[in-house]
Order: sequence, then structure tokens, then C-alpha cells
Amino acid sequence: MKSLLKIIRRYSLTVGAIIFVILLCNAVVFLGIGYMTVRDMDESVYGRDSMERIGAELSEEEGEIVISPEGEDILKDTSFVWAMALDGAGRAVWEWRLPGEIKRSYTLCEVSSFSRWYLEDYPVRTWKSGDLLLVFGCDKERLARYDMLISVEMFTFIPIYMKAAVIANLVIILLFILCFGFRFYQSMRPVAEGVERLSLGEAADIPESGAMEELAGKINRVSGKLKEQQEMLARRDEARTEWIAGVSHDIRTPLSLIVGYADKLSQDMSLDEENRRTAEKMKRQSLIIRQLIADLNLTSKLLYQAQPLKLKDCSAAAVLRECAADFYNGETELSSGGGGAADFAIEIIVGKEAESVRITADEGLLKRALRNLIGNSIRHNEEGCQVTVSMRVDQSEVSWLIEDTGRGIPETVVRNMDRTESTVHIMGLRLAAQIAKAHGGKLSFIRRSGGNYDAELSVSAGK
Amino acid sequence: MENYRYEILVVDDNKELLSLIAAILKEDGYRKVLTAQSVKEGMEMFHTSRPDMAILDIMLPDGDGFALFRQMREESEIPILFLSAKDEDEDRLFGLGLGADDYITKPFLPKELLLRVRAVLKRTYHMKEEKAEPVICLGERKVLPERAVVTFCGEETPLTAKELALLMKLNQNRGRIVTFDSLCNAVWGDFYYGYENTLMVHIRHLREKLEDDPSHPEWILTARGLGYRLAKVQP
Repeated sequence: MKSLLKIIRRYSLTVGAIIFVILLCNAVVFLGIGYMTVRDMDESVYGRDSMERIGAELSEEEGEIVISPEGEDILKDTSFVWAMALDGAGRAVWEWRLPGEIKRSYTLCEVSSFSRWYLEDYPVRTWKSGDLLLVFGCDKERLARYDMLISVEMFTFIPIYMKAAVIANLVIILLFILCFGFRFYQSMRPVAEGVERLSLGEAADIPESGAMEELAGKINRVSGKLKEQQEMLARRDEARTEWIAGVSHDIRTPLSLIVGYADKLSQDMSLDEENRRTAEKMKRQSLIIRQLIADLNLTSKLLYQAQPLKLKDCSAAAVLRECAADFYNGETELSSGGGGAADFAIEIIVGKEAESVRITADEGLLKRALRNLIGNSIRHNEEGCQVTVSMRVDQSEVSWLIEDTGRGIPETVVRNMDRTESTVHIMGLRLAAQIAKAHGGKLSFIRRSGGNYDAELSVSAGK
Repeated sequence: MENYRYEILVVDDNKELLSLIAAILKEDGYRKVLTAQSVKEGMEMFHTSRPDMAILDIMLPDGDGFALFRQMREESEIPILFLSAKDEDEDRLFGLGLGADDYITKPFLPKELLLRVRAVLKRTYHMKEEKAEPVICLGERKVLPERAVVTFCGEETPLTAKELALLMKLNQNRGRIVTFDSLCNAVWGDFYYGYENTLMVHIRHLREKLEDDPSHPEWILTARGLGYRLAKVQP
């Protein structure tokens, strides 16, 4: 739900930002155009400056008003299309490009009218120069004239009106944003809740109505498909686990016969020494198969979570000691492919703090993981070795580091740990890793200076 | 051996395994071994021969071993051992929960089968004899648990209750290492943590009473970092 609120907040902020940016752009463009227009009018069209200069260039010569050549140049540079000068009686005493339809004499009324309005459709500008009234005609195709009166009161209130208008606009925009945001939130909420349920592995079950009808329908269909797939996967996992359990069950009876007869042959004094040894090897290999079957069965159950953990409160140090004692007491099978069990010694290092630690764990499984790791060290060093297991505890986990004076775990084994297609020889290690994982921990490998690795098993201190 | 006179009935659907088990038992000395391949045949055999012990497979062609077990138990209290290819903990616990005397998982070593059969027979038919001789021999010294004393050269030294409990636990597992944890659990019913020194003190007292030279013990041996072991024979 937090994420939905975040989306709504973002949406509102974005809408606000868009409106602000558009208004800002408009203001900039409006001001720019206004400024340019005013500048153009001032300089080339209205040209107060030009009109004043033109007035100065008019002079009386032999009773006639004439313009100097400089004055005429200025006139040509402006955008005025014609010009004339009226004297106090309203007669045109000077003219420049004056069209024929324009009268040469005006009454006071006419002057007053055209100075505020049009003269024969020409917008005009007037300028008082000495006793003369200069009249300039503008291009009627290009310019229009607009005269305006504003009340002083209105003029005073313009800034206030503008502020009020801006504020009112902002409030309306804000209300719209909130209103649409809330509606958006309302329509999105069931969808968001459905997706959240989906992420928790439940069915989405979104009501298919309103604006989000189509989206809800699609999510519901995806949810249905997911459920179907989950069920299929679960069925497949179950079938696989059952299949492995079935095979391992069926293999046990024939294996009993092999073990039994091999054992009989190995003790049959009528056979020669070599044949008895061969029978002994058969027996030992069959026992390895027995261990592999048990490991395979357990590994498949752990992998597909078919084996519930039998959790109980236990002392982590006691588990380790019992495991080591089992090796000494000969209760752990140590038969390897080659000769008999090697000469070994197991040293246990448990600090004061580690001694006090209790964990909630499946004791049997934990012992099995440690047994696999210690057993590996002993089995793979036929010439004998010393195994040291040091137990360490911190706030979150309990770990056992298994080191030996032998050759250590080869790099190829460590690299193949996560590869499913590799050989079964590392099943014991994998099983240890799975057991660690089931207890919220992991199996890690620590590189020795020599190149090979030592194993460290850790489990969560809470579980 | 007394055990060999007992009759054993083995029920398993696999004919070859049946003959192997029969051969293993007979070679060890058991004089009469009966075999059956189904629940029906097993029950008939049980009625006609009245065996002293039965070894039952769980998966049988006309029913399961658990049902056969119940039928037999209704009529007799003979020791019964399950022999199964199922190694699921639930099956094992179910079998033992029904009151079976032991549960062996296939594949098994012939020696394992023989040891378990012997142990079950001994437990069922020789209880009294075992109780009659509860003396722990440690060379010249003898411990009499019933009276909690050690006898040596005509003198008697008493043992405290805790010392005796420790010694009994070690004796139950004689020759094998018993961890500190098992000892503490047996004697104080608690975890080892907090009892480190107490346990050491009790072992020292035991050694003073049982050893010629307590600082170089010959009977109660230390397995460094793990626990103690009661030696089987004097080194």
C-alpha cells in the first residue's frame, strides 16, 4: 500500500509541475511577444523620436513650409506612408506623399476625431511641432488603432486582481489534483492489493469493475496461471521424491542379499585369501551404496521440502561432541573405496561462550551434516590425519570450522557444488549444505594457503 | 549358547532373502528357523510351531507386517523384530510404538542381525540372570551397585549416589566414549554447560576410589574435549 501512496504522491507532484512549467512558458512567451511588439511600434512605427526630429527639420522658406533633405531621409526610414502639417486654421501647409482622397483642410471637430480614430481608414499619429500640427498616416493594411480608457480604481486594483486570480487558479488546480488523485487511488487500490497478495503467493482475486476492470482481469488470469503452475510443480516434486523413495526402497532388498552373501563369502574359509578379500570389497562397496541411497533419499526430501524438520532445543557443543565420539566408538561407517579406516584423531575446540549456546535444530540432521564433513576428512586421508573442529558463535549464527592436516577439499569439488550435473561423489557435501540451508545457514569453503579448502558449516543461532 | 535353542520365525516376501536369513541364523548356531512368505502362511506357521521369536518384513503380498504383528501379539508375548526396507523415521517409530522389540533397516550386515536377535532374546528370556550379577569388575576392585560400594582387599569404600550414577552410565557403554553431555544428562538431567567443574570433581573422586594411581588412571579414561570412557580391560 505504501507504494501506491507513493505513486499517487508522485502523480500529484508531476501534474503540479507540468502545470507550473506550462504557465511559466506561457508567461515568458507572452512577455517576449509583448516586449518585441512595443519595441517595434516605438521605434519604427510610432517613432516619437522620429516625429520630433522630422518636426525640427521643417522650416519656413518664402512663406512656404519645406522639409530639409535630412528630414525627408528620416521620413523614408519610418513606416509612415504619408505626412502633412496643419496650421492653426486647419489648413495643410506641408505634405508628403499625401493621397488624393485625403482632404487638405480640417475643422477642429475633424482634427479631434482623426487624432483619436482614423482618417479615411488610415490610422494616424499626430505631433505638435511649434505652431504646426504634424499628421502622419500609417499603413492601413498593417496597423489598426485601439483607444482605451481605464478607471483609476481599476488600475490600482490590477495587481491585487492578478494575485487573487493566480491564487484562485492554484487552489482550483490543487483541488482537481487531489480529487483525481483520490479517484485514481481508489481505483488502483484493489489492483495494488491483488498484486501484493500475488507476491505473497496467494491468489490475486481482484474485483473486475471500474476503470481498472481490464487490468484486474489480466492480473487475475496471471494469478490463476501461476497457481496452476505452482500446483504442477508441487505435484512434480512430490512425484520425484516419491519415485526416489520408491527406488531406494526397492533397491534395499537386493542389496541386502548382496551384502549378506558377500559377507558370507568373505568369511568362507574354503575360499582362498584373494577371493575372500574380493568378497570383502563387494561388501564394503555395497555399504557405500547403502549410504548413497540414504543420502539421495534425504537430499531429495530436503530439496523439495518433503522432510519436515524435527526442531528441538539442543546444545550445539553437545551435538559436535556426540558426533566426534561416534567416530571414536566406531558407530560411524568409515569404509572407503580403498583400504580400511585410517588412523585419525579429532580435536574439538569449544570456547566458553560457544559452550553455553543452545540452538533450535533438528539434531539428527545436524549430526549428519557434521558427520559427513568430519568423515570426508578421515576418508580422504588414508595415511591418517588430525581433524580439528572449532566452534564459533556470534549474535546471528553458530559455526563449525572443520580443518584437517591432510589434503583438504580439492578446488574441483568446491566449484562443482552448485552444478547439478556433476558426479554423486560430492553428495555428502551437498547434503551438509542443504541441512545448513534448512537451518538458516550455509556451508562455505575457506581457502588454505596450499590451495585446497576447508569446510565451515553454519546455522542460524535462532533456528 | 542358551540362545540357540530358541525357534525363530522369519516372514518376508522375498524367497532368496528368506533363505539367506535362515542360512545366517543357522550358521550362527540357531537350530530351528522357520520361514514364511505371507501373512497367511506366517500365521499358520505361528499357530502350528509356536516360535520363540519372529522377524517380520513390513511389505507383504497379502497385508502388512504391522497387521501380522498385531495378530501375533493378541495371542502371544514373544519378542518380535521388524526387518524393513523402509527407513522412514515414521515407519520406524510406528513399528517400535506398536511394541516391537527392535527395527532393522535393509540392507543390513549379517552380524548386525545376529547381534540384535541375540540382544532381544537375552532381554526377553534372561532378565533374571542379568539382574543376579550386577557387579562391575575393575581389575582387583569390584563395584557392587546394589550396595554402592567398592571392594578391594577385603575393604569396602562407599560411593555417593552421583558417583554411582556416573559409573553406571559409563559401564552401560563400557569401552566407548560417553560425552560430557550424556553424563550430565544421566546424572543431573541437564545440559553440560554450568556443570563443567562439578563433573570434573566427581570424576576425580571416582578415580580416587577406583584407581591405583588417580593421576594416571587406568579405568576411567579421558577423551580430551569429548568425555570419558570406562576401559574394558586393564591396559
